[in-house]
Amino acid sequence: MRGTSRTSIAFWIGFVILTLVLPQFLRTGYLINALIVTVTWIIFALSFDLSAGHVGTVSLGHPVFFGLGAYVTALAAPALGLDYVGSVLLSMLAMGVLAYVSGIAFFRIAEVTFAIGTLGALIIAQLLANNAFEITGGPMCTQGVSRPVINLFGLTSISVTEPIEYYYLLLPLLFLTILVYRRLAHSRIGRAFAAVRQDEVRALAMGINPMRYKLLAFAAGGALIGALGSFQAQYITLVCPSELALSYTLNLLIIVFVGGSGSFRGVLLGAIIFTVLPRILETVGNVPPAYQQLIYGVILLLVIRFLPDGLDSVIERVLARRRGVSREVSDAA
Amino acid sequence: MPIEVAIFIEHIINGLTLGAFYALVTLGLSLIFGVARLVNFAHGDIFMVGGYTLFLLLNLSGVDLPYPLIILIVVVITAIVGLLVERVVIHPILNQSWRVQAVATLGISIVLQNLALILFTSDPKQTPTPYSRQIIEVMDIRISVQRLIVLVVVIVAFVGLQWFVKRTQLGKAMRAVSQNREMCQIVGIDVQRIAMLTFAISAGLAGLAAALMAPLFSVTPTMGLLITLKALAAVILGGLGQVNGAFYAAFLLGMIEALFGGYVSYQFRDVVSFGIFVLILFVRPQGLFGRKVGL
Repeated sequence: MRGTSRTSIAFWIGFVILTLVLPQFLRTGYLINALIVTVTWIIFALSFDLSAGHVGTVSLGHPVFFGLGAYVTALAAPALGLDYVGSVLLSMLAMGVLAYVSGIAFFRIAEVTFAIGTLGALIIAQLLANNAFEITGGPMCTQGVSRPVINLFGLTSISVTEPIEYYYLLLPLLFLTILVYRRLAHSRIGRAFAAVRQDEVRALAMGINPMRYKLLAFAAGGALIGALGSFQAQYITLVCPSELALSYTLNLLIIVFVGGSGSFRGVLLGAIIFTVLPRILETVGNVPPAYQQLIYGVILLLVIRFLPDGLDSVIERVLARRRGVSREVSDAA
Repeated sequence: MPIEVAIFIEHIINGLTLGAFYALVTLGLSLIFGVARLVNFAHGDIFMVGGYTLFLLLNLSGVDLPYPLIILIVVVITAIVGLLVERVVIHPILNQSWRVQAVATLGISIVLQNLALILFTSDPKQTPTPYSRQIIEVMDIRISVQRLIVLVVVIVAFVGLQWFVKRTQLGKAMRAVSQNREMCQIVGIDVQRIAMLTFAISAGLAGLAAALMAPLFSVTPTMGLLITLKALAAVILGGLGQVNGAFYAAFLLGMIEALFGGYVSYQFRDVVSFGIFVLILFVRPQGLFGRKVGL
């Protein structure tokens, strides 16, 4: 899937058209909301996978960028008089900087200690959000976040209220995330990521500075997730400390590791499965949330045990076999 | 005795019991890390399983079991749970990268938490023992008997564990495996059996901690997370793999929490203990008592 081949251009044109027309077929607000949730998790998981799948630095604290990005928009954007684009950019910038700066500190610690440290940071952030009533409202949440308004050159402004409008508001962020993910993962930078993931010392010996690439992936992911948090705040017009919960991390791990870490197709697949499956279990099977979570946990354990590279490795194997067959055919001819 | 002094001493005793409690949970984590080089993110959830086992045993209809027997049953059941977890999930991934191991143990955590949620709902469950409401008063200092029991049992357990690890054949094998796994296989130590034993002991210690400490607060399905993180903090502060260092660090954490909670802010006590932990991580990644080791 190199960026320039004809089939891949066709794929991306098809992908863009599909994402543009898809909501037109979904008549109810429920379905469009479901679509927004799916796109949200695709963005979230791809941004997480930049670090976890490509550079190999599994942070358990990524929801911090989501939750704080949402708080930045809820608390600072109105004071600065920013419209939707401004508030998203503000959250994006703030979380990108936060990721970069915290990365400098956290990447001093290696491997599993890094995971533990970032888990600690997540819990601290959530406890602070819960207890700083005066600023965040604590468990009562920050309420009444204003709905998105887009200023057009100061002449006129569009306000967004309908789910379908929200969907089109979120799409640019999806495209940006995919663009960043592909640009970073499938390039010289991506090969440096892989070198750092496989063996840091060897990467260093080859003249690759691990810190630089860890920071790059972390800051890019943090910025994208910050922007996502900003959108979320303006979509549900509410920011709660639960946006900083470990359950987000667990969802990310399930999506990325069941789908296939370090693979665009795998992460996409994981995000779609684990946002569509709950809807099916809920509406068709009437399965309560705790049972659903239990099922996902068991799926995660099974995949880790029997398909360590995720569901994507199965697709990869099938495709490789078909490619092998077609090559044999062309060889024979 | 002036009331301020009495209160201060009460806070110190609370800090000691908290520390003793964290030490028990921490011991299990560092044993597993030593023997299997694995960080078990589900350790606190095994503690939670112990808490619910205690709840069930205290509410057995018609039977009134003595507390020591209840403690023993909780320890045995959590040890069995630990053994099952090792056999079913951990054993197959022992040679995988730390990423896979971390995700797998977090997977165990998801499964255990939601099982508890299904079986017991999210309502906090109280587990009072005959001792948790009994209070003795010495020179204006009021201490619950339960806390004294915690202190005594933890000290006994720690001394017992030290003896086990230093003096018995199995304990020596455990230490040998934590020093050099391959060499142990060469000289014929059953490394698999040692790993199973370590997981059972580790889970049993978490169960013991639950049987002792749960009566002082309530049991919920999600309580494991904070416990895991406290224990991880102690393990890291003590230096990964340094069992004794982790033990002291646990007491340090308990003391900080009790004193900060008592004198400055009860709400922000966890923020402070985790904040100190994360800060020390940056300054001394090898832990307070650890030696610096390469990657």
